Amino acid sequence: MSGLRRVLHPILIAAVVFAVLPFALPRFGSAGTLATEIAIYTLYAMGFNLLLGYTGLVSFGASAFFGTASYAAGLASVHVTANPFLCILFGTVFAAALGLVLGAIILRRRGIYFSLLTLAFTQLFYEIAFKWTDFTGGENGLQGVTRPVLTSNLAYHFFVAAVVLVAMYAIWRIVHSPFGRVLQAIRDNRQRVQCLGYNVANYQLGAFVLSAAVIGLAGSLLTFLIQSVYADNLSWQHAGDPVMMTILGGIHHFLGPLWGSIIFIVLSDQLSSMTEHWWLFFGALLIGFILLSPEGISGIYLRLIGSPRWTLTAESLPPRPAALGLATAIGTHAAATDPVLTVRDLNKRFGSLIVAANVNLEVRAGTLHELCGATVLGRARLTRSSVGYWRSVTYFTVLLATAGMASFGRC
Amino acid sequence: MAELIVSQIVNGLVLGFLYVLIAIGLSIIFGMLGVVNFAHGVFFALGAYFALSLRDTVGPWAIVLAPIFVGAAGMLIESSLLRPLYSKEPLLGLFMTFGIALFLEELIRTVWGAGGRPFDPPGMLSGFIIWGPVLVTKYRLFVLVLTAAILFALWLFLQRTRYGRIIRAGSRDAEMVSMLGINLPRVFTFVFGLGTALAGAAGVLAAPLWSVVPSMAEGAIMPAFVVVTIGGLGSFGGAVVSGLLVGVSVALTIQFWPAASSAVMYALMVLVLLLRPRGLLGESWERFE
Repeated sequence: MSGLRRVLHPILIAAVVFAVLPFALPRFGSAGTLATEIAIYTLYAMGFNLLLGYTGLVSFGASAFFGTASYAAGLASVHVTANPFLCILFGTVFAAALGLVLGAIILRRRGIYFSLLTLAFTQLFYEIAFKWTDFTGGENGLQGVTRPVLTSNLAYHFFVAAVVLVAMYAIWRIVHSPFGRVLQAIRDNRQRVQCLGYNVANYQLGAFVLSAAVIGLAGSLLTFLIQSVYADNLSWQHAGDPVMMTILGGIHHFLGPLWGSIIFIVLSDQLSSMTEHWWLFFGALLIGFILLSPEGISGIYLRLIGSPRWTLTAESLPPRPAALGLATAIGTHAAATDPVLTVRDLNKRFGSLIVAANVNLEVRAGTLHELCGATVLGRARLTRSSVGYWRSVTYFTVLLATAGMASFGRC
Repeated sequence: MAELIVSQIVNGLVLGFLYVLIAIGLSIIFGMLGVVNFAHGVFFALGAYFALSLRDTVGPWAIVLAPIFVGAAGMLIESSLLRPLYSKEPLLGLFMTFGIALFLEELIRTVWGAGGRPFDPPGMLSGFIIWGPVLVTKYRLFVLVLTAAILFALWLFLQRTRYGRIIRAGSRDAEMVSMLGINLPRVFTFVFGLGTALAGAAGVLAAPLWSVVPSMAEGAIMPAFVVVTIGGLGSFGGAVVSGLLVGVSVALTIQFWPAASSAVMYALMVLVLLLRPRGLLGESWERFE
């Protein structure tokens, strides 16, 4: 089984799907270019899921990056250079830069405010693009984008498929890297990651920029597929598309966005030729999935084969290193007698309730300590205060001797 | 010039009070259920469409009945579709309201058609009132007074009654409230009904001011999101202040820079966020962060 899994690497599965689709879809009466759209939207949804599935950030403004990148690529093609590869690169870099600026602003708020802010920025950009007719073409869209190379639809499809696969492989590697692991830890328990000394805000900003770049790449690829740009790319409905795709395919599954985008695009193409009220069907489908299979199609498949689990990362763990680096690092950085954690005059109170008064504590490397208290409250508060979880502690000094934990000093 | 500004400010206050009505409903639902109701705009539109259909049979009573029907629909939806999700991943509730929004908006399109429907204010409220330099339609003044009255009644309900206390306490800590012997599922259903009924009432009142089209849902939900973000979720005063601020800003921009009229509230929100990340009157509630 594990041998089969190794052969069926998710990127390989995606490659086969992208290769087959342009030939399979016309048999069902759909255009072959729909396959290219599926590849692009897979990447779009993957960029979105980098925030949702991996980092735990719910963005309702993914289209802000998709749309601005498609405009950036389109405008570059019309005004600067006819070389589509350079334009696609420009669109991607532009989206990443925008992600850096917006992320720095939006990530100042957490939870639901974050989601609402992403939505609001998308709307703001949509209004600007829609009204600024001289620059963006407004309602008529930006026309005049050309594709002098890869002129046939099939050639462009395979170019897009190759780019998407490379990007997917990059995402696969990133989510398995230490950086990606920290993102997933933030999703599961933000406070604990913060207490371990990671700068959560910077990691989230990193994920935000990465997601913006991936989504921007998808948007730039679309510009050269349809050879025009419309403000609809920026609308909040368009930000909802990757949400739907990811839910339909499976949030906690690496290939969820792929299956989701196939279902979404093929079904909407087929249904829209039958009835104008196909959104009624889609709304019901989405509600049904959330109630019955919140992990989407991937969840159904895994339940059928009898192993319901997440597939965001590979199942096997990397081999354990022969020696643990960190343990030796502490030994070399601090002499055994020096304390690694010093708490001086720590006071913490909630209104009139004092939970810690004038606590002094020294912890040395390799020693065991016991905290005694009448209730669990005081001990937990003391631990939390010592690692800087609360910033409102009246006065305390925490000195840390190990280099890796020095970032606590800021708190 | 000065009278123009004053007139637009009055129009802006009317708009602002409607925004407040929508945003307060969104805010109390979020406070209690922990779900951002993406379908809130559709309930707003549903209010207008119910009034449209009821008007022929019950006449002016439609203004009372339509919000009640919207609230009933909301309670039905909450108990059938949202309740099974409370014990699961919190995100699912959010996605569920998103699905409900897509479904209901298309349902409106299917039942009432995609085109706009005219909705005239009742005869006794048509015409203008000229008051010194200020010129306002009677209907706008009626909306202004009525929404202010509804908001005041709601404030009294939340602050002075036993049920209001349950809702305010539940917003802070729903689990604790249920441990005190309150039937929480029933409170959830009631709060969802109340919130959607408020959206429905705003929809009825807005019907003669805006055109009754399926996309009016979007025209309501976006300002409501902006208002709660600027004002701070869970803050009654914050919602009122930011709602009126947004309403007046939009009305003034419509007059002086029409192209920017729909972008201005988002710009305002970014500005507030940069200067005061917590929102105007927002408190730091751990549940919302």
